[in-house]
Order: sequence, then structure tokens, then C-alpha cells
Amino acid sequence: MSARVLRAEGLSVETWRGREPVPLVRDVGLELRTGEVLALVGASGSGKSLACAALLDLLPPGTRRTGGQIVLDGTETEPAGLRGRAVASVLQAPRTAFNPLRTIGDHAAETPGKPGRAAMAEAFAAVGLGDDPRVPELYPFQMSGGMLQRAMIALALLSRAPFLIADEPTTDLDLVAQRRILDLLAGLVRARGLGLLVVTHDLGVVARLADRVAVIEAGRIVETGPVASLFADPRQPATRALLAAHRALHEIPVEVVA
Amino acid sequence: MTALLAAQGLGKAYAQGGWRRVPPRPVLAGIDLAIAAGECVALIGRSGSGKSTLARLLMGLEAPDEGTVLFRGAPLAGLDRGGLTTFRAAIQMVLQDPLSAVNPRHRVGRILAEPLRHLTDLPPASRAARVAKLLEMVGLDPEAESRLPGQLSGGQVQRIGLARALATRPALVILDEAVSNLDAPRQVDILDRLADLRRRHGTAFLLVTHDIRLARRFADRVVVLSEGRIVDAAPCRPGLALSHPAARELLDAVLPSGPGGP
Repeated sequence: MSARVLRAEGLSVETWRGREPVPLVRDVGLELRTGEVLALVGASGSGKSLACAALLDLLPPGTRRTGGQIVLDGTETEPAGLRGRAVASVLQAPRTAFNPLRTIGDHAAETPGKPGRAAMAEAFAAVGLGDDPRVPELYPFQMSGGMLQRAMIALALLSRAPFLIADEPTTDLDLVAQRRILDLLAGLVRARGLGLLVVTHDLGVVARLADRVAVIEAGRIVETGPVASLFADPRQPATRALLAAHRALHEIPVEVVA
Repeated sequence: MTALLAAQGLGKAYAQGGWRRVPPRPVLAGIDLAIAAGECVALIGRSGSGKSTLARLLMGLEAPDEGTVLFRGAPLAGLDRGGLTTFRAAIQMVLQDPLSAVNPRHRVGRILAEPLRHLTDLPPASRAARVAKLLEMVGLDPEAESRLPGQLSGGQVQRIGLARALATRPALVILDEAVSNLDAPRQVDILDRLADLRRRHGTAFLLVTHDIRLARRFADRVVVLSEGRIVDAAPCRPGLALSHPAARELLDAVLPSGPGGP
């Protein structure tokens, strides 16, 4: 499938307290283009993971989608039909995402399209696991967090989906492993023209990887723009608060905002 | 002056699983580290470098295979019942995964009162006031007292873990990746609160982390652990000068502060 643009329009998600509906994601629009990285940034609890889950029709129990549509190259599409075909995903905690009783090769054999040995070897090589021929025979507990995250990206590549959603792909990794995974993702976007949506609370990840940024606060997209202008000229209080904390960690004095 | 808590020649090896006779895998060797009263030390290293094992040994949660841990000059292994109670009240720890560190069936008030009940001679009537004070110290509403951990966000439960560690007015708090997984605004908020606590009560901290930014911002000095050994150490001010390759790797891995920037 060689789609170019994946657009989510007016995504809304709610939960309920008794009979009272509680909105969690309100009218979120996202546009992913192949060859480009879009970062969805927000503080904890801002609704960024739920917005992604709604995009993939993977909402957790106790929540429901109340509106919105997914448009793939101008055609409205059922979200459930996207998974594994147009969109692959990389999850936050690699250790809980794998079946502990199955080897990495077993997981790879389960991906859509029943990839052969050659396709598997190619995908493992693309994520830097190609040097060790034993990787497909390893169980998840025999691998480090960084290796598991690479394996998960390899599984995503096996689907040959043009779009990749990575929800906090490096949060559980140490900084050195994080840097390498981000370098890998950046390389894959360049080499294969993937459209990547990376969900994160870390503006360092955004600075390293993203072309465009959408900032989400309380379930609403409050600001969208190219990464450079967001860092240079943040317009919304939510964006400024994230930037101020980010710069405080880097010991760059915070400018006084008039 | 005697150090508050000191490690002398600490070594630890874990048995490898399976029924074959495999030699135990060494995870720490020859660790010497002393933390003075009121001092703030950052212990940094990659995943698997032995940071958490060292923290567990210092807490007395596990016994070392070699060497000793000294609490105010006295070996941990030789402490009597009273000595252990004093030690446990004086040295507290906050763990990485906040939800697994609290009983999900206990309300916050009970979680915070537990160390008061076991480790202090505070009369029951005064405990409620202390719990309210603790919630205030970590910036939570007094109403949080009647909540269950599942009703709070991850960041809020992490602050409950911190409040519990502060309950006994400890001399040293060990933070094992306790702020690493929070978002940046919450990290800055918690570090500022801890720095304030340090100024007012002279509490010492051992910050265990892989994030050199947090270490640089919060600690007086940094100790670098790699493959179970201390390979580098340096004061944070005026500038953090680390030269060992393992330390350089951690420094180089810090993500850029802005697009295209360092």
C-alpha cells in the first residue's frame, strides 16, 4: 500500500461517570505525511495516548469514540482496517508488549503477510539486530529493553505499512539506548519514506526527531506548527510551560515572557 | 567526621538461573562510597550498570557478598533491633514504579501513617496532623488523604511515595529513578521541592538516575557506575568534568534542547 497522507479529523473520546459523560479527547485533528515526522506532545494525562488509540480503534475499556473520521489519501477509512496495513505501531513498554513464552522469530512469523526468512533477516538488519543470527531464537527475557524496542520496530517494518505510530517509544530506556532508537527511527523515515507519528512528553525527543509538532492539552490540540517555530515562538501557555520546564532541565535561563 | 552512610569494598553477585552449575554473575565489585549528612550525591549509569543493586545494598534490603555498609560508623550487619529501627527511620527510599510501591487497597492516609506507626514514637493522635503536613510538603491537596492510589495519576502517586519516605524525617532519602519517568514540568517541580527540603531540614539525597541532566541540576557531586564499578566521580560545580568513556557516553546521549541545537 502506498498511501501518502493519513488524516484524522475531529477525533473525540469520552468516558462516563455514572450517566455523566466526561470528554477526554476533543475534536483532535492530525495529519501524517509520508517521509515526515509529526510529534504529538503534551504533559501526562493530556490525552495524547488516547488520541492515538482512537486513531487505531484501540481504545481501552471504559472509553468510547464519539466522533471523528480517518481519511487515507482522501478516502474515509475504517480505523480497524488500517492496523497492520496502512499503520504499524510501536508501543511504550517493550517488555510487556511481547509474549514471554514465544521467541522473537515466532512474533515475526505472526505479522500480516507471513514474512519469509529473507524478509525477517532484512527487517532485523534494518533495526541493527542483523549482526547476531540468533536473534530470532531469543525469548524476550534474554534481551535488553533497547534490543526489544528494536525488535518491535522490526516487526512494524515487516508489515510494510507506510505509517508508523510510536507512543513514547523510548520512555522506559536509558538515555544512551534512547538516543540510538531515535537515531534509528530518523534513519528509517529518511531511507524508507515512512510517515511517523511520535507521541512524547519529552521536548528533547521532539527537537531530535520531529518536523512538525502538535501540542495537546486537556484533550484539545492547542498549537500546531513546524518544530523550529514552536521552539522559537511558542504561542500557547501550555507550550510555554512545557518549554520552560524542558529548558530548566537543560539549565538554559528561562526568558521572561511579556 | 563519620559519614552518614558509607559503603566499603562492596561486592555482590547474583546466581544465574537454571539447574546447570553456572558461576554467579558479579554485578558490583569494590564499591567505596560515602555520603555525608546533608550531602546530595547522584549515582549515574546505564541500565544494568548496578545502580539499583547498590541502592538496595545501602538500604539493607539485601546483604552484600563482600564489604560492609556503615551507618554512622556502625556496620549494618551488627545493628540490634533498636539500631535497625533508627537506621530505617533515618534512611528512606523512593522507588521507580510508584503504583507497585503502594498497597492499592490502602487509602493515602494509611499509606503515609504506616512508617509513623512502625518507626516513630509519634502518638496516634498526632499522626493525622503529620500526614496532612506531608501532603502539603509534596504539593498535594489535603483531600488526597482519603483517596486510593488507583484514583490518582502516576505523578501524584509518585509524590505519595516521596511523602511516605519523608514521614520519619529521614537523614537520607534514596531516589531510585524516582523522577525519571515523570514529564519535564513534574520533574522540575519535584526537584525544586526536594531542594527546598534540603535547605530547610538538611536532608541528604542519593539520586539514582541515568539522566545526567537531573544529576547536574540537583546534586553536589556525581558518581558514575559502569559494569558494577565506580569509574568516575566529579563535583557538579562549577562545571561537571567527567572523562571516563562510560560517563562521556551518558553526557553525549543528552537530547538537544532545541531543533538543530546541542
